[in-house]
Amino acid sequence: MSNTSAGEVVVELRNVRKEYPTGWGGTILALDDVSFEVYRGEIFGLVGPNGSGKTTTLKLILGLIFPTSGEIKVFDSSPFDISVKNKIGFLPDGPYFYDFLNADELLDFYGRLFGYSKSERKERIEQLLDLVGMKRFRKMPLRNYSKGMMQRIGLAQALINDPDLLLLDEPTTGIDPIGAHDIKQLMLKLREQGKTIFLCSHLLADVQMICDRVVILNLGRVIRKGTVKELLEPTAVTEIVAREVSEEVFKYVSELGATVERRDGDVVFRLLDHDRAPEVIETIRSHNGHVVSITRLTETLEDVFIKAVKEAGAPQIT
Amino acid sequence: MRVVWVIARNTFHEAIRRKFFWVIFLFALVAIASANLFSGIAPGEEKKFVFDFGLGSITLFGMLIVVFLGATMIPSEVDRRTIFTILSKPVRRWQFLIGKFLGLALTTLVTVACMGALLIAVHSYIAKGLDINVVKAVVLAFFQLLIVGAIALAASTRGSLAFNIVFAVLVYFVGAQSSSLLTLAEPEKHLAHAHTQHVEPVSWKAYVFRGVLKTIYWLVPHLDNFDVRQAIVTDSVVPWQTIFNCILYGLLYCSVLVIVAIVLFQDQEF
Repeated sequence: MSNTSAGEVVVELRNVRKEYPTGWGGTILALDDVSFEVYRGEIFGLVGPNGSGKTTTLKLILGLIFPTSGEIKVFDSSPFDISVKNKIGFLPDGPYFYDFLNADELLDFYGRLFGYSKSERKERIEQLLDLVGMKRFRKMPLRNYSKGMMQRIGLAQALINDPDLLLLDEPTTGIDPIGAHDIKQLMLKLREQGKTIFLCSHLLADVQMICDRVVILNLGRVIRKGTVKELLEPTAVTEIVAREVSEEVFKYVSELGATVERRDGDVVFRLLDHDRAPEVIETIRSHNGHVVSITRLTETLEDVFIKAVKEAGAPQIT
Repeated sequence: MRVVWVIARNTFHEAIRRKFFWVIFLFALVAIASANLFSGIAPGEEKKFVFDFGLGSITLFGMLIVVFLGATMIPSEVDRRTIFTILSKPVRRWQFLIGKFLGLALTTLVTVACMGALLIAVHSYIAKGLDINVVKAVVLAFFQLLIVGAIALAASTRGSLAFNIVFAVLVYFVGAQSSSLLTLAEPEKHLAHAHTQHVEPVSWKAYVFRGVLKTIYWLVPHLDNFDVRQAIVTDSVVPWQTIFNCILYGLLYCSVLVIVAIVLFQDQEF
């Protein structure tokens, strides 16, 4: 497995291009010159608008489709190498399984594909049903499952082989807030265990919260990549939280064009110009007020995403 | 082999839990069991009627089952996206396809075995004894249906559901008349009176037409060889050699179809 200064590379895409035939000799470009690496033990986020090529990228990594050109390596091997698949777990977007089976039977089926013995399968199924909170519904046919239940059981099947690399396509879609929180906690726990997680999601707040590195795709091209910290630039907005603020200070700060908000007995000033912060702090203090905190706000991933997509050109609907 | 068996077992379980399977299967059983009730329309020929009607039911309802199962096999996996989670596990594409075929074969075997056992029971009751020719005919019906199922499965690796069904049914009907194709392609050899009459020179159009017919003849399965109804209703003995040859032909034809299906499936994108 190749190593870099950043760590052991688990997934590597080099100048990958993917065209889909459209009939009559035409093609549509899904990915163009896409390159990135995923390192062992990180949570890697792949984000992008609809049609940006996220699912195509996942399918290429899984060996479900073939690249038009470029190179893909998973655990330093071809994605079509069968031994690689022993180390992978995959949860597709909006998963659908054999609905004539119940949860026990479904997990048993996938366990059999990995060649686990009966006792191994039994033990693993118990652990996984417990982990995804589906023990109560283990005998219910999948056709009666809600979307969220299907997502939970999908996660269980992705973990059946205790994979080193977990590929998750929109894992929290359709799941209630508690379930979504549980899944995020699980991802963090798996990272602690040294697992690598490749996450495709539209939920940018989640990606920002749990991912170590992020790639933003737009129209099949990588338009931003880096650690979350690298991507999120500080803004000019500064938030000052103060107490015992006099009316004069209110008036003065309002004239600077700052927004004022009351929060739990404190006053929150949000200055649009960072350079005015020292004089506002001085004014608060000179009027016997107390400054509780000063924070220079950074962009959210959503800000970065929207800015990047706009700069790169949004998909045109024709 | 383990993976192939896991896929085959799952395919079989899925097939027998489908509603349409039970509707057709139960309908076939009712038709075979009630054959005796209709045998009155052929007085003195009750035994032959029960056999003819029963075997016809096995073939017709069996064909409906295998064509529908075979034709939906791959498209339904792709549409439901269940294929994503299977091929992302350590499953080779050829293992998946052979597993699907064996699952279909197992379903066909169980279906034909149940329908055949009922036919043999009804026929033995009317004939006051077991006629081994009926058993032979049921065995041949199984292999005939297996070929049709393999055709539907091979088509399903690339075609849409509607195409797969139409294609498999069309091949079935053409295959069931394959010897007629040869007669049309080579009338001089097959028509008895051709030897006594003056033979007109063949035009290029007729030559091309005959070539096409001959090609179709060699491509389609010779399913009429599996139909021994005529021999049985005329009280002829169906030789074991014929049964053996048909089984061998059926297995070879299915093997070729599965290999074709694997080749078509190998570079399929999902």
